[in-house]
Amino acid sequence: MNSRFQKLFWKCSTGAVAVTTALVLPVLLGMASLGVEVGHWYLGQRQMQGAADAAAISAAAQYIEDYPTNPASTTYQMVGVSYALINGFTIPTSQVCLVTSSGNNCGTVLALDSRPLVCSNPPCVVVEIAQNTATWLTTKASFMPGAGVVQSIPTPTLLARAIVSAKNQSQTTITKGSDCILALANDTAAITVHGNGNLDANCGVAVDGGIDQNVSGTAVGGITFNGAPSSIHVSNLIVAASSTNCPGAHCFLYNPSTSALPASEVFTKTATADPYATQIAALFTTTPLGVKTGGVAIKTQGSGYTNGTCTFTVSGGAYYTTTSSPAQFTATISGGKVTAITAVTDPGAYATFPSGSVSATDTCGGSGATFTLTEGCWTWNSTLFPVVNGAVQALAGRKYCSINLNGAGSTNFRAGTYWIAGGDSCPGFCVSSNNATVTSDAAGVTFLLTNGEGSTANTYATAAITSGSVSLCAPGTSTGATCTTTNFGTQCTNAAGPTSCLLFVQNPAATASTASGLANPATTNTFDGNGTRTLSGLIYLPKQTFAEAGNGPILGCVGIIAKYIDVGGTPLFNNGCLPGNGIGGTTTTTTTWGTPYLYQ
Amino acid sequence: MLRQFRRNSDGSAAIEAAIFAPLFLVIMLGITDLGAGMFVNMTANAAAQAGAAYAAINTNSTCTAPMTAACLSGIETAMNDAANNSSFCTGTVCLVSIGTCTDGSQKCISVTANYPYTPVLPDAVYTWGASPQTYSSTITIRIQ
Repeated sequence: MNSRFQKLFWKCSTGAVAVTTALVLPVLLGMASLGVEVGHWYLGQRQMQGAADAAAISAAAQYIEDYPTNPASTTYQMVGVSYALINGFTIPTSQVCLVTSSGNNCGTVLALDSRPLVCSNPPCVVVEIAQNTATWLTTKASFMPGAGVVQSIPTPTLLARAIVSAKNQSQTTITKGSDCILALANDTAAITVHGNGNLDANCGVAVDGGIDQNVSGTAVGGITFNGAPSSIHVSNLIVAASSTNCPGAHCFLYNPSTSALPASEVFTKTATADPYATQIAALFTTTPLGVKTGGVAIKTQGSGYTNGTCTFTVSGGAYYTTTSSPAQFTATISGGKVTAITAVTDPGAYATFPSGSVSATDTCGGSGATFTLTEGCWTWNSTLFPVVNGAVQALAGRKYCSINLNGAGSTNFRAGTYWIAGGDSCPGFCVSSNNATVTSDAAGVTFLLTNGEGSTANTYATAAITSGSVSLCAPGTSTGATCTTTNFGTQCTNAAGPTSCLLFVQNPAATASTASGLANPATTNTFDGNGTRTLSGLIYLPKQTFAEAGNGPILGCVGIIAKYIDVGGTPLFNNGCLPGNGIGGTTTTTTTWGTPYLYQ
Repeated sequence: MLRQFRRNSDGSAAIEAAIFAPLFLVIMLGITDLGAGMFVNMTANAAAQAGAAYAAINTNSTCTAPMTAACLSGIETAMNDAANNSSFCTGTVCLVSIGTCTDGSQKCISVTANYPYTPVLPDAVYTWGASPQTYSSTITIRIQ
């Protein structure tokens, strides 16, 4: 019976398709539903990521808006939640969080999704969207192929995270000033041009009218012309006063030089501040200390020195800069003892001056001599300097009483800063011989005109170049191996240190000129000279008078800031290549939106 | 004759197959439609996201309120690229707006991709569907 039924059962094909269908259909449906589910997960994940990105950018927008007034605001969380909802997903506020450079409040987010929070440009806003796929299930179970049993469909939690940098970006816009001459006086004759004088400048001329020096009352200031041929040829003219005081018969355009200065290049009621006041005040806060001329006294004579002349190098003290060298002097030895001091050959440059009983190293084999040093300025003495190719090589970094080039011959100033502390035989920096040739190293020199020493301690040093051939370059201006009339440079590299582009700088505390023109000789700085000269760099005399009576071009990055400017010669200036933004430049900083940057 | 027809099992498989074949066909084509529809939906979603991302990145330059032609063009290019279809944004498929946000903020961008899709099976099978079906995806971002 059993075997017969079995035989019939297997032999009979009736209803085979129904049976097959019954067996195969659930498997097919199960596989199809699983495929649909998995596809749905991918779709859902994409939608979640889009919503997370949108919510994070929106929250970052709120954070950036709040930050300036209330950096601790948590409104960004509300915005993140709100925009996640707008884009189709509901999340709690704890899933919108912030990563700053000092930490984050993303505990909930990290508990859901252990991936690290990548934020290379903090602060960053993080939005995490998590969905349990069980909520989307159309069927809860399926035949698993192979297993032949009904199994529940897996329901993974899908995660989407967006991280957006909310960093504001500051943008600084620098407008380069086009002016190279600035007169600061509140005087209708802040600039005076007289005789055959012609101020020929391939740049703008500005007259501040005393605004920068806090003169009360109405700003006046302009150009006064004495003499029919006197003229200016400039690119533009800017005055703080309501009128330029610049008649058409005297005021011309630089190029073409025959054209009258057009109204479009003339600006009135525009003050021009001295842009260097802060930078320059810092140069005068400390002055190097040195041994004054004749400032060495013998305290103990020592013994064992070789008779003749011996050079001593001072021990002790602290240098003004790490590259400063110690003071040196020469002495006469007789009977093995130091009997007399011949000369201070190098005053040194100290921040802490060697005091008390000072010893010195020597090359004469003796020992035991000690000296007493007196601090002060060092008198210019060209015979003490080395001579290279016939030119006296001046020592930089020292404090001079004056630099007095009153004879013929060549003097080269080695690169560095020269302090001139008041003047003695000459009022400061003086070139007074028609046959003097003055040059500087290409790396550049800066002359700081100040007071405190010299014949009268209260007098501020001035510049008095009355003749001679002068080629001086400030640091950052020369383009060649030397500073000459061909290597003066037309651009200044501001990277050349705190004295970049500065040639002659007078202490802003200097005694002020009180009248225009050449009425105050004691406070007038003269820059005359023979023929073509190079004065490459800023000449800064905020309280005194700049006077120029020489003829011929002045080459280099010439920039002049002075209280009064007097022109009796025919200088021709190039456009000034000055430190920072130049004269009349501006710096504006605007905070702009950072470009939203998605990290994940 | 009728009895013989009933008893004869010849060709019964063909008959049974003829009964079940349409059912299989509907299931198979239904699965195809579901998959293809999901693909279209994902394409629309990706396009909307790409468009919104372009607007967010260029919020300082071209994408200002009111909408500029340059911004619209950039968004549509981004959407075409995301959809891998250079003519994705034709007609009213891509909709972009810049305006005030629902929460009162100054600037929101909303990018919508309405991508039509015609299933293989007749629409009547999908009683929930319009004719032709359209998959729509909108991304709304506050950018200021």
